[in-house]
Amino acid sequence: MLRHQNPIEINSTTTGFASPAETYVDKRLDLNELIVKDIYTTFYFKYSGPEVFGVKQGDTLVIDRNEEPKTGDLVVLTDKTFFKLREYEEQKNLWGKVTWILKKT
Amino acid sequence: MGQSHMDTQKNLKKIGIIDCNNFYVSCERLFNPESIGRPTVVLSNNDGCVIARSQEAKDLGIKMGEPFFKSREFMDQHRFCVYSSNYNLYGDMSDRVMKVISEFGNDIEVYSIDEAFVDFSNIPQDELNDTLLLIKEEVKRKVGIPVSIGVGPNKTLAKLTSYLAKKSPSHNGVCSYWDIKNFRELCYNIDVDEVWGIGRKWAKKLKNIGVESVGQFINTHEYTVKKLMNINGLKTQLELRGFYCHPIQKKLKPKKNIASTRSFGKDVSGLNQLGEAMYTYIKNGVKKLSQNKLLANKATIFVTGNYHKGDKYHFSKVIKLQKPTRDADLIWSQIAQQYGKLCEKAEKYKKCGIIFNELTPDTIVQTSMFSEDVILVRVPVNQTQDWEMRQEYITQKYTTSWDEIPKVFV
Repeated sequence: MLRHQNPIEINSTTTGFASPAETYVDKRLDLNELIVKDIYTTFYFKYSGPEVFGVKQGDTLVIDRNEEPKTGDLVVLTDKTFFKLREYEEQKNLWGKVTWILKKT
Repeated sequence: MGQSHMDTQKNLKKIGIIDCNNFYVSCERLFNPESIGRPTVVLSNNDGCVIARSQEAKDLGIKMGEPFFKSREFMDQHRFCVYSSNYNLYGDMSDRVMKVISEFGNDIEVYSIDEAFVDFSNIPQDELNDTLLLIKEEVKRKVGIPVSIGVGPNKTLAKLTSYLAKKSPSHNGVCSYWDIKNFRELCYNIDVDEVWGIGRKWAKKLKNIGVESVGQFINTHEYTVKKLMNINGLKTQLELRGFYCHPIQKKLKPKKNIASTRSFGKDVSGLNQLGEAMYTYIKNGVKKLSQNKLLANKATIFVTGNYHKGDKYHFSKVIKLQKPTRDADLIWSQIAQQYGKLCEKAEKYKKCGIIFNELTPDTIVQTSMFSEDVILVRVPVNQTQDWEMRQEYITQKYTTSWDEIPKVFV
């Protein structure tokens, strides 16, 4: 779920010096905004296997089914009984486009 | 009533019913490709009976509600894919489907986990079919779930259109009332209990006076209908005649009761295990109260024997809680003694549960001056959990638990 915390309101009527940052209170960055375009079409997969396309065992893949892949894009395909990671060639068996690869250092 | 939309706005509205095809099976297939093309069923809680079937399973004669143990061997022989119900998955997928659908209509009423009424009056008549096909494709592409859509001038006719569309597969999963040429004639071939809102009881009453088909029902005198059924029966008849009586209900009605109850995987005896089970259900129920921002004023607790084995007993007790609450330990402390008494009445049980009644929003906090402090009773400890539900074929929480997201291979 996307959850945005609103910045704390700074009340200018309190005593003491007003914070010089008062007029610059933006919303704190939230990783969801960068990675998840649409929570309703986003799914997550875990990669298992030898390193391919820069993806290593245990990496988490973000899939947005709303995104249309172009030739060469990383995609998840169905293959009879399981899912496989491939570079996109044709529409057949497409499950969704990989939009982000999340790795732990 | 007496509202103008009842009598003047004939045929102005476009109401759609969208339903997900074999929804639970479709959810499983999205994450378990091995079941695609194979006959597939989903079982009820406790793996008791079949509650969802793929087309292949229907074609092989598997019936809705069929006890699993009876058809198990047959399913093995025909290489069925069998799944226990995975409501974490279905709930999340349902939410996604509804969200995508809601972007196309004026208003949406989520009618059940796999059905929604949508007001499509905003779509011009000549664009209707193309738009419906687009919606169907969009839901499939974005969320992966196949849907069917029926549209008519009101909910009742939308439902009936959708029913007719399923009977003739030439419709591509999308069907509009205005495209069915001989609708009134077809109605004489449809059984009256296929109509949305006409339950078994009413259908029986109607058949008693010789009204068997939808066509006959439409032509029955209003007075007879109102007398035999009630105002809702009359509304159903008016809707079949093309009037608009049941508006889309955008907001969910506030819940009146919240129940948390399950069957055990096997018969359970002894206060320890029964207590454990009850305490777990209290905790589940409390979670639901919290999600709905409610507090309970009363609780109904019950224990039930195994009906299939002839243990036809059911004991229950309503308990007034000292103050509105959703604190599991406080609730347990107030029901523990009475529950113990219920549990002593028979040797073994198949099911227990708690229903929270008289719910109040948690924003209204009533502090009673005279409420005594509740004496806390020790909560049952989870030792064995072997009363837990049988879910032999359950799949993972693919979309709601980081530890259970699907795996992709090279």
